Amino acid sequence: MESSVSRETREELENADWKEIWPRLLKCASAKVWKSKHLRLGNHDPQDLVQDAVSLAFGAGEDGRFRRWNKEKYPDLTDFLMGVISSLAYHEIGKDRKRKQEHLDPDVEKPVDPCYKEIMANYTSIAPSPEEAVEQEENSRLLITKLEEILGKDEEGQLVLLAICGGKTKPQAIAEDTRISIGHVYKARERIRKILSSIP
Amino acid sequence: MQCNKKGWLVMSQKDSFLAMLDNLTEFAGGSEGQSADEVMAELRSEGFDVDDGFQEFMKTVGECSARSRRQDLESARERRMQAEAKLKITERFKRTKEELMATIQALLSPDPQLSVSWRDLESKSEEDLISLIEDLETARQIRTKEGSDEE
Repeated sequence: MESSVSRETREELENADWKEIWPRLLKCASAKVWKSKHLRLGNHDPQDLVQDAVSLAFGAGEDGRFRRWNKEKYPDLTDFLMGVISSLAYHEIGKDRKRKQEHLDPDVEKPVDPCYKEIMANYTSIAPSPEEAVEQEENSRLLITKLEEILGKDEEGQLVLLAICGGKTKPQAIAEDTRISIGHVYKARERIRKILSSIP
Repeated sequence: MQCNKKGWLVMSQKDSFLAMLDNLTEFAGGSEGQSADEVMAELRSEGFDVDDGFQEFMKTVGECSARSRRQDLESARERRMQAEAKLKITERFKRTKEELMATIQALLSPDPQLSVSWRDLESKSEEDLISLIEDLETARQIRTKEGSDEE
């Protein structure tokens, strides 16, 4: 089987500054896992997610699976791998959901047509049932309300949270949106992280 | 989203708390403005065994790299074998178009029901003629084998 990554990409991966990249990937994976745990969608090991992402980038994933590094879209390797981690976390959640559904309803009749079956397999791995969607939404609301309560009179923290809920995720964009200095946004992030990790 | 007396968490119809939570985890999982050492220290305080974890990760990088290189070698070997096989065929059929057409006529001659006119053959490309010869040879081998089985 032909390697799905070019020699150039492989060499870049081999020579990457992993001491610099790995902690950032683990931080990203840890946040994704925190979310799925609090939405009761499964509990994965963040380190496994990072290792799986790198295996895919090398074209050495399970059953020959791979993710091609599109350097035009993601010039930075860390950004690319974070994207792979997000996608993996999303699909792992989908797999858990599917397993849960099969466990709850083992006698459910499976469609015969293999094409249809494949389409449905993809669909059920991604889309939650209406009940699950309501539950996820409610759990998300509880988490955000809890965070808002704990932030209390931390005005900068509240403003940062408001910007996040308004769709901003990058500190620079939040700083511009809230007119808080970037240094203070970083500090607010530290406080928010501490609060999130303390929520049982 | 808009403010009200209780706080700012009043939803407009298009907002969803799940989307907000996605944004929040994206933000919390970022490490812009931090050095790698700072991130490592944070991870350590969150309970990660970062020293063992990093070693384990580097082991995975080494294994993936080796697997990827092995795949390349296997692929190169396959390509070489295919090229060699193609070369053998080309060598075998290094003949003029007329010679190829004569070979076809000869292969068809034992069976009077199968015949192709010279003009028909002339309209074919050399590649088509080679394919036809290969098909006819295969058919003859099968027929010969069937004949010997019957005996």
